[in-house]
Amino acid sequence: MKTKVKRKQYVLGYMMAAPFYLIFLFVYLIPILETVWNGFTDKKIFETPNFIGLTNYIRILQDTYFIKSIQNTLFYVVFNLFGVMVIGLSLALLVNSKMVKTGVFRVAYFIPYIASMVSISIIWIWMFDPTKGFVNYLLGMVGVEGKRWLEDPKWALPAIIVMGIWKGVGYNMLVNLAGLQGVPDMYYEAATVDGANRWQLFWNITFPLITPTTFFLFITGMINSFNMFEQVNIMTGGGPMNATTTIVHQIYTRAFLKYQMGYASAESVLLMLFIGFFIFLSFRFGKQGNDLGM
Amino acid sequence: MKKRLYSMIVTALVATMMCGCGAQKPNQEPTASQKETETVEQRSTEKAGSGKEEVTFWIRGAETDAICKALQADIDTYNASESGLGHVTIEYVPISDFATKFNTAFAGGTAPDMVDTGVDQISIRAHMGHYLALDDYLDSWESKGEIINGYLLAGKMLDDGKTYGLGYAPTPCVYVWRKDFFEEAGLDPELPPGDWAEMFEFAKKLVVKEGDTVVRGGFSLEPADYRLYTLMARQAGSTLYNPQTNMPELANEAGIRALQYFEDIQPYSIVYNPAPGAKTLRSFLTSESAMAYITTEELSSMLSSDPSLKDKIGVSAYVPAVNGVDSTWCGYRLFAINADSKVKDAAWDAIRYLMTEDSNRNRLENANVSPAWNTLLEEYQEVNPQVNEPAAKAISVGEPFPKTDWMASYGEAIRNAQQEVLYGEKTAEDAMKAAEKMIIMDAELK
Repeated sequence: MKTKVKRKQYVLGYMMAAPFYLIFLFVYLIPILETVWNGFTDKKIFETPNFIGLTNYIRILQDTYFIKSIQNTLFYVVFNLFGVMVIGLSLALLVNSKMVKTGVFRVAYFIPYIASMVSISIIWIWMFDPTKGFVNYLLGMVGVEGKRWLEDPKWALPAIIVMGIWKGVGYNMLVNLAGLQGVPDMYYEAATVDGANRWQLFWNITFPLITPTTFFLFITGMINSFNMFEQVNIMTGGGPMNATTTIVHQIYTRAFLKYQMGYASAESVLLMLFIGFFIFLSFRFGKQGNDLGM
Repeated sequence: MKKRLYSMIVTALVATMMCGCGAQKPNQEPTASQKETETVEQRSTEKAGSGKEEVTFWIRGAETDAICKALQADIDTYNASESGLGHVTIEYVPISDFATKFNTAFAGGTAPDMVDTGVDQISIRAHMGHYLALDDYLDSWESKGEIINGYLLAGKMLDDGKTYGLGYAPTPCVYVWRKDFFEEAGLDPELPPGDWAEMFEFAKKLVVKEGDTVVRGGFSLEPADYRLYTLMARQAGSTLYNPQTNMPELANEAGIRALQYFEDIQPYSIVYNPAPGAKTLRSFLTSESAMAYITTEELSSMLSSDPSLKDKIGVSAYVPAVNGVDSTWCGYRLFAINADSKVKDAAWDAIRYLMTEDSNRNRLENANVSPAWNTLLEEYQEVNPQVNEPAAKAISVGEPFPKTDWMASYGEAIRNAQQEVLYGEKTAEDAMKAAEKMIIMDAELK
């Protein structure tokens, strides 16, 4: 009797969980497996694919545009991640202090994060306009010559990084703020009694204790940075001279402009392996810290 | 009771999700029951529409565009007539969304029966099997002999020689110049340059600089667009492909010469390189350059918004290259039929109507579209000699993009080559070789 009741409960439990797993299966797992398979075929968008083994992967090794996109993506990941994390933490420390009105600043810095990337990209196209843009206007006010930001291969990617940092810093600030507010005051009080200055308080107490938060932001920020696409597609189209093309932009170009789905699938698999590799390194060598169990 | 309710809810959710699976893939034969359903539906339609078959027609653009209005008027007349085989329903699709929307519709089996397509897409879609070869229809078309040859050839592929689209509205690029800027620079405002060498000298005199910055170009260069290179390469004598192999041939003497010209004239030009998401006008349209190549549609739009410019703008078909050939680029809007359409005959019947002399005259009078009929050409030139005479010349010697299966890579390759030369990264020869190599490597992926 008890077994029957338990079995009924199990069945009900699995049925409750079934919708999530079915969605996961059909929306994530099966498409991922299909993409991995397509990477070994010459699939075009509307044609029956033929198995071609590793041909796509060998071709990718000779694809100068894809190699360039890897370089651009890594450059973006490093500088964007560094920027949002450092500035995000700095803003969180500022907002956490009694110097500023927390509510107003939190909203002000978070608004760019919740705005759509498409609208933000269009606004920044105007901001970076060489003749009428706000950025060159500000530079002109301090006597610095403006640049042709999105039209200059040297400056196009840094310009996109600046925009990416501006947009993402609010989220980092908010998450860091939550982490900061979880640090017990007693540590600061004890350290202050021992004569620690502000820098020592930050370096020896605050920073170590918010490591779980920092690690979380690092991992999610890295994944998001590797997947950067919208702003490149709208602001530069991957140019000038492929100076801003990223891995996802290359995948998009191959799949939806040239209809080479098999090749694009192979590129997607490589992207997945890149991200997986860097996440593995992060977990292997990074300090994840411990949650404060208080 | 509660458990039973939860079980029912969960079962309903799972069943709903399973309903989305198993859609028919393209290129699959319909099942016997689907065929039966289609036959029944077809009979119902025939009965409901007095024997006329429903034909869906996608037109690129907005309902308010002059050419769309003209097409709508013709379709209304066609639908009202008793002799037509079909009843056409139009849907307007923004040009920027067309490719995505058509791909989605084709994948889902809901693509329209006939489309208005462009020269940049006709090759790609013909080679993907989206469009029907029209040769059988064209061979039995009684008015074929009246149609200007360029319109018939606009949708003819190089490799299999079949025609997948019928040109109905050419969009030539014409050479334009600002007479007032010419006068300021001491040049005869009524006389365009005689050849590329003269155009170079004119650009030197016309450029206006503030320090090192060009504020008004003598000429307008557009590294993000591949039409300008295409028309100048053709003028220099390049066919852009090898006629024997149909593979790209860009790094020949003429192709390199055209790109080299860009590099040479760059110091005296405005370089128009907008962000993809920016809605900016070409530099000639904003009076930031004295000479340019623009389409007749853009020119008409410019003159409509500022009629005072009518006497300030000179128009000619093109500026020939020194020792070049009588050729340029000309785009076309084409009618095409979906290869999977169930009402192909009705779709062709509608196209045939839209290609009649009356329909061509309607588009000429209401949208200034160059007519496909030889007999209307003179009338077209008389309507607006300033624009239409050079446009007619450009159409007569102009050709669209290479109609091959590697057209999908052509645009990107040319854009890259132009940028590499204009930014000083490569010589013209190296850039064209790289462009050619890129297209060939992409073609080998197929």
